[in-house]
Amino acid sequence: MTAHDVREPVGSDAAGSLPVATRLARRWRSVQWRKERPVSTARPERLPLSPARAVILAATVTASVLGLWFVLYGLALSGLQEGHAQHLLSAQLRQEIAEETAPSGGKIALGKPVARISAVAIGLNAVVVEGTASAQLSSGPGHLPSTPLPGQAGNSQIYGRSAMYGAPFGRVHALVPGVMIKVTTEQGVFGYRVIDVRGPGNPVPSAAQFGKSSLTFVTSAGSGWRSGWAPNYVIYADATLASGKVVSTPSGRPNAIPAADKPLATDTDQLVLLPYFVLAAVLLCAGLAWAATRWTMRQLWIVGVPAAVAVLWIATNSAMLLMPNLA
Amino acid sequence: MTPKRSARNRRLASVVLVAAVPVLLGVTGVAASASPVPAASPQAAAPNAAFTKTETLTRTNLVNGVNQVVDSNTVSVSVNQTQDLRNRQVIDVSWTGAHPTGGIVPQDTGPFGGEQEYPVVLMMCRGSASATSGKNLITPETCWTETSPERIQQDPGTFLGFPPYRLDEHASAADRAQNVGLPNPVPANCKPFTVVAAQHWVPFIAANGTVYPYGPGTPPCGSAPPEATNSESTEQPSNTTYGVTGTNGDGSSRFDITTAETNASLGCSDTVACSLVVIPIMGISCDPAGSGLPPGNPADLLPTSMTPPTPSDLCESTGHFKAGAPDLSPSQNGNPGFGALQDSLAVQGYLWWSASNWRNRIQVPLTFAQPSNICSLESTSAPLQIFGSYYLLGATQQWAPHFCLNKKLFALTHVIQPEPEAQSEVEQRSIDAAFEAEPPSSAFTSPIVQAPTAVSGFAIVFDIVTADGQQLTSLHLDARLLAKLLTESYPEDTDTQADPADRNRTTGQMNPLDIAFDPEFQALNPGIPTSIATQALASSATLLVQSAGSSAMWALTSYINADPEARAWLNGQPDPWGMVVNVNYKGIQLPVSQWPLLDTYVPKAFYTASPCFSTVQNPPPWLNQVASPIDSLSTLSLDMQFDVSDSVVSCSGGTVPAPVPFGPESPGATFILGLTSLSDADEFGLPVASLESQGGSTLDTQFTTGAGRTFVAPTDASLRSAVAMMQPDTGAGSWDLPYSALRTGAAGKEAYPGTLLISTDVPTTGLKKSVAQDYGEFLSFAAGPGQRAGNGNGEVPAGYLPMTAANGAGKLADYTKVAAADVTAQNGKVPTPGQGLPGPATSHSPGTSSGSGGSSASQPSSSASGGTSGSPAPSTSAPVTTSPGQAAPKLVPTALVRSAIAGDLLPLVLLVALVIATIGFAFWQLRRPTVPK
Repeated sequence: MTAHDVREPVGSDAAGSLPVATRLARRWRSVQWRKERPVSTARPERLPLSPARAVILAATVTASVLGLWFVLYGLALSGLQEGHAQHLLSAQLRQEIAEETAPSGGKIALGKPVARISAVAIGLNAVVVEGTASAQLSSGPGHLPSTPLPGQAGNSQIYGRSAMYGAPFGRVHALVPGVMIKVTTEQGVFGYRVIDVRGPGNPVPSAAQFGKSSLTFVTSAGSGWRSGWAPNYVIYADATLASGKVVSTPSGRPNAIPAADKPLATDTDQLVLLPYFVLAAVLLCAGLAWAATRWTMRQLWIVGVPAAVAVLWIATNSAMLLMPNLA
Repeated sequence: MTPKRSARNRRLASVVLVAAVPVLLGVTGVAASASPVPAASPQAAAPNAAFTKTETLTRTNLVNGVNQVVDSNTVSVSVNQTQDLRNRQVIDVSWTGAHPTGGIVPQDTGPFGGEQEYPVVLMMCRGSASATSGKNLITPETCWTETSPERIQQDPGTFLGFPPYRLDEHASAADRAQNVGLPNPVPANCKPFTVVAAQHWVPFIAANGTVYPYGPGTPPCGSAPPEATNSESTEQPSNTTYGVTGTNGDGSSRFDITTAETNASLGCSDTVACSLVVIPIMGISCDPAGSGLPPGNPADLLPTSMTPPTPSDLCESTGHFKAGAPDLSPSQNGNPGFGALQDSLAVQGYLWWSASNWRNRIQVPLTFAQPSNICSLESTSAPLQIFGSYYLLGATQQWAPHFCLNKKLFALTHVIQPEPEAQSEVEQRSIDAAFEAEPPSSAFTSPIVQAPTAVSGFAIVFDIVTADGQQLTSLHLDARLLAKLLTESYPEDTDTQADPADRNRTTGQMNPLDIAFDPEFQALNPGIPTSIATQALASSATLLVQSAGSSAMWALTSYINADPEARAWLNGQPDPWGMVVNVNYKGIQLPVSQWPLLDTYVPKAFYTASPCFSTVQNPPPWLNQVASPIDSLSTLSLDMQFDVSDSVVSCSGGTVPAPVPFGPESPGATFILGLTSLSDADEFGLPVASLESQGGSTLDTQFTTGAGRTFVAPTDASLRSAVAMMQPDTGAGSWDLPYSALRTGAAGKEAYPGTLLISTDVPTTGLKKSVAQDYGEFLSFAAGPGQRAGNGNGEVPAGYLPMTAANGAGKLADYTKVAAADVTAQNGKVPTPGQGLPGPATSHSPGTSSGSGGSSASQPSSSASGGTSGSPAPSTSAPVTTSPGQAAPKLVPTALVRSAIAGDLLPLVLLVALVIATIGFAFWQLRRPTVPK
């Protein structure tokens, strides 16, 4: 089959004078014919769809594909995004620690790598960035800016996602007391011993249990059928400094945080960008529809699929940032 | 390039000059000391001291079994505040009757201050002042010092193995041994340093029991607490103070409190008792016969025949320096040169731990407020956030625990944000509430109350050293001087004096270099030497302010704008001495919330000669570098506390020098002015300038005194006078200070022009019910129980005038009560200030007012909220005062934080997608007619 025999039915309809929907319907029809031609006619042959039905069908297919894509992106593809970010952050943190330029206090720019945490027991090995809003947590676990950095005196809080964007804290619930967490910052290497994992209603450790320097992992969890992919409440894992000396806390830490940094908060700032991506998607669709009437199927696929995936990827990423930060 | 051009050289020169000041003093000191010197600190004779104690201290020498009195002093110590102290708070300690100090060094904190003779040592020690045994006993091991020479003494042989502390009459035999206090085993790093004729180590025992041996050397060869690193950085010196006693026996010092928040090793907190230990050094009481030396060790017996000075001579020494004399070659950083002055050690501050000195200590019991992070530790619920003014921080720090520790209330978080920004965000509804202290730039378009919340003020704080080396405690400034500082009208440097903007166009005369050279400043503040300002450089030509917009700048510029003298000068009229406004600021419209930097002069030749500015692309105008406003007010207050100049006029070191802030000014050569809050000024002990309330004229007559001008310091009385003048602005819905009436009205004469009324802006429509209730609760609290002066939870600290009827602020509190009811009810009403409000007599029934009269629905809720906020108030003092020490560990359950979006969105999307797919498939399969065969 060559491009020509596909082209014929379209070329015959007086070049673009018909409405797009009708032309699309004919294109659809022609595809169906082409597909079924080599097949034996054991099954009864179906009539071509009317233009209205073709549109309805296309809409349902699009809607369900988009929905499945959204879910697929959230649970699987966003992990690629996070993995890429972690790869870059890891290199940046290593270099900055080597150069002693990694931040250790004061006001740290959001998204800057501040520490590496690893807990072999739950397969956690990630670079922590500053800030806990949705945007920062999409590139890895985030450090709550109003708390000291790990290793410093006080309670340091690290937020992480449990379902999307690689789910770095997806197995925090599986931590058990006694497990060691290794944290590397500009100021040294610190070992924290887990003292508890707590959900709503479980007692908060006392100040004595927290000790001079402590670390709290904050993430989300869901029970029953939700577990692993649809978390709906916040859990915490606390750890106290077990090896390494408490280091000094440089001054200048912010004493409060924006609302978007709170557990399970959504960051509506991201809403600003979304319309542009949606607009891009609409333009792309219009462009592809136009091209569909003029290009061959193969050309359309080669050009259309990467463009569609790219726009869809960016738009979905932007939409995902509207999801609560710990999910 | 002259040496003056390089900032580094200039700093060096200033150090030399600092050393020169005491020299001059030393020469003229004897004559000068006879005349009464004004008290170094006005608090020295504070009648309301929280602690006073008098003790008679004696130094004796045991000769042939008879104690001969060498010296005896009756020392009185008073401390201005000992209760509910907070981290970094500064307290004033003063004393009389102590032995005058000699060998004075510029910096009286450790490690250098210890080298002085007869200092009064102030240090924080863990333990209870009343304990006589047990773990709460105060010992030298629980006292905080940061450096090795303060804890470790070694005799390399200078004293033939018998330094004064081994001859101490009051020391036990064990304490007089050759090696005392060495850890076992000796840390490996220290081994090379332990072979000496005699030594005495005082380890530090941390709150958790860890023993830090320190050890000789800088840094110490043995381990030291992690917090003991500050002495090497120039930013924040150690708080261990070796206070200087004047030749009249009096002295005072400001002492910087550190709690467990910054010094966990010392660990002072509301639950761990600590004391201030004051040791007036009297010198070692000597027992030269060695009757107390451990027997049976021939090597330890004192040699009998020696050429002078013998160890006993050195022990009995009364010092090397005369009283009041400076130490012209103090030890260099980290190298205190033990025994360099053999005849000095016996009376130096370094021997504070030896028995003769230690027994003379005066222990001042201290109590601490709950730490400022108590709420973040205690509270698990989402906090109620109010954004805005830094000027309320002192109050909210004490209010927040009142809310978060009460399980019936909520956690309150004050997020610092520039007031104009917070104000517009409330109007745009991106935040729910804001603290501000200025009327909105344009009246709010939606119903938002501006409820008066606290009365405080801005403070022009300063640290200026006078000719006699003391810190200046009172400063008079008029509005024109403030305008001169702000408008970059002082050229700052002879190299930049060529700035055509700072030059009188008619006479060609150049403006004074900095404020100290200004005849107007000299007239109001006689006797301040220009030399200090020259050493301090840029900071004497500018006022350090916040770079972001602030209500304080709005108030300050309103004050300047209302002053005819200052306004005329800003409009271009030269002052009586011919100084003109920087032409870039001529006719500037005031008030403004954010001070603009308008000077444009780039001193090309000066920059070309500079090692760092020469490499800068597009070099910035010099005077803007001098002004360098700072972004955070808390940093600004810290800078003022430690005399750190923020002017970016120095060059960094390194291969590529870059312009950097000038940094800490040399002790003894500070001249710095800044704009911060009254509460910070009180908390950090920063002196505050008195501002001109009335007087002065626009006539072109020179003056040499401040006669005819009234200067008002911020006191409760002057804030009260300002509050009495506050007027309702019915249009903007706010209460304002009428700045022009302040200048002319009879009542304005006594009023502090820097008074700020801090209000809370909250909408009365559109808030969620529970949130609105919380805000209403907060406002009711602020209008009533929150307005008690004190350092406890739920009270307002010094720097705030309680907003009560007794202080003439009943009208403000009543307004806030009505506003609280409207906020709780979310009825869309905004009470009109000053109209139809109930008087103080009927304030219990706000519902009768016409302002909220229509809101019958709000009445029950307002009385209910008044009731709930009122009920915890009497009990606030109870938990606060009893909780230290006996707060039983209580189980706080983890709060439930959930999100429906997080849990349900993905499953929902998946479900919908599958349903649509199913429908589509069905449609595809079922509804298509087949082609008939």
